[in-house]
Amino acid sequence: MAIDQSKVIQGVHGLKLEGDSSGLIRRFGVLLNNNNVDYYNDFSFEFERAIIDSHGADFAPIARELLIYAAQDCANNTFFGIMSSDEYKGLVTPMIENEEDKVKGLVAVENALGWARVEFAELKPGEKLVLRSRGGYEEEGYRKRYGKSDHGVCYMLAGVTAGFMDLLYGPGIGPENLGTYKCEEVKCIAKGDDCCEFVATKR
Amino acid sequence: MAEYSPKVEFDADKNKITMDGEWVVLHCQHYNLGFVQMVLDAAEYLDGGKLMSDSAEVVALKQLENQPGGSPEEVLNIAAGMFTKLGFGSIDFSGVDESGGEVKVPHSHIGNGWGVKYDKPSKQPVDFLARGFIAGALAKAYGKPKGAYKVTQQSCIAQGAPASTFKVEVG
Ligand SMILES: [Zn+2]
Repeated sequence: MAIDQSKVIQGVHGLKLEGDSSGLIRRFGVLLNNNNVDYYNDFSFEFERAIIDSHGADFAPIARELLIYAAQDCANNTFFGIMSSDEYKGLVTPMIENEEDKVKGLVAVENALGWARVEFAELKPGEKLVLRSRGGYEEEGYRKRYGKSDHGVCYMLAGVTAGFMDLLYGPGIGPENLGTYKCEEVKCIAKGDDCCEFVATKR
Repeated sequence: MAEYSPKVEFDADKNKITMDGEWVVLHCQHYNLGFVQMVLDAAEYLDGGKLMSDSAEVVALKQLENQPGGSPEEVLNIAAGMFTKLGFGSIDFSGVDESGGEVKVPHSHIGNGWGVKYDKPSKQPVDFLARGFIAGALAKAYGKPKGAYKVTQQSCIAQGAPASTFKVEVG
């Protein structure tokens, strides 16, 4: 059947992901929220800059690694909850015909969350995953604030790409696999590339 | 009184969700608390909590800009609806007026999320998101600029308190 992305997106959006009477969105074993992209961009880029200001440019990779790790943690937990849900098993699992479809199913859900237009590029099961994105809120937000970058700035999408590999090919179950893989953003629109490209490999 | 009822749209070409034209994204407490943890770990040398609450204040002001205005009570009613609908939690502005007071948050994405994510209660208040939202909502309600209100979190659900409470002073 192959993954029908628009059907998956419709399915996710049909879940009405809004606060209940207590203002919480309890789904997939986690609490979700809807927040403005400016909140995430302002905080992450200014936090990164503040670390560089206080510790020097040598600490830039550490600040970026922290931002990536937060997203990898999110992917390990939230996407594990999503993959384990009845909704996923009912809608997406029947569309999975091969190894690549396992990733494409997750990418389809990722695309429902409003982060970017993410596309599958390449998979070597257990070894390497390549995803590409356009219109991500991080690269757009970075360029709007600071102009062109000399490094990839889509930390959240990078962490999520590594998280997909953790979940699919890590030795344990779900979030036990956190950090098995790492991801590098080898191309980024904020650097002037034609797309953002994420390569996840074993750490 | 007008209720918060945003126009939610999905641009299928860009995979972009907007609420009243503002781009919003879905994230979980693991991601949001990962950011909070970064703030706590860096506390010795930078005030990341202020960075985070400032970001939330700017966003609250901007999102409320698109909403029907009116009396402070009406603006705060819209703000409370926004807080709930976005999944930030529930919020009670009844103890605050133009000169300050107390705001109560009986449920919180950050505070309740902490209990779901971690085994141990937090040693300090961590709801920088709500802190900034409150400052933005009050500034909008009383026609003041960003930074007009100083908001200090006094208790936090993440610490085991039954509700998070925030002291509001004119900044
Ligand atoms: Zn990028």
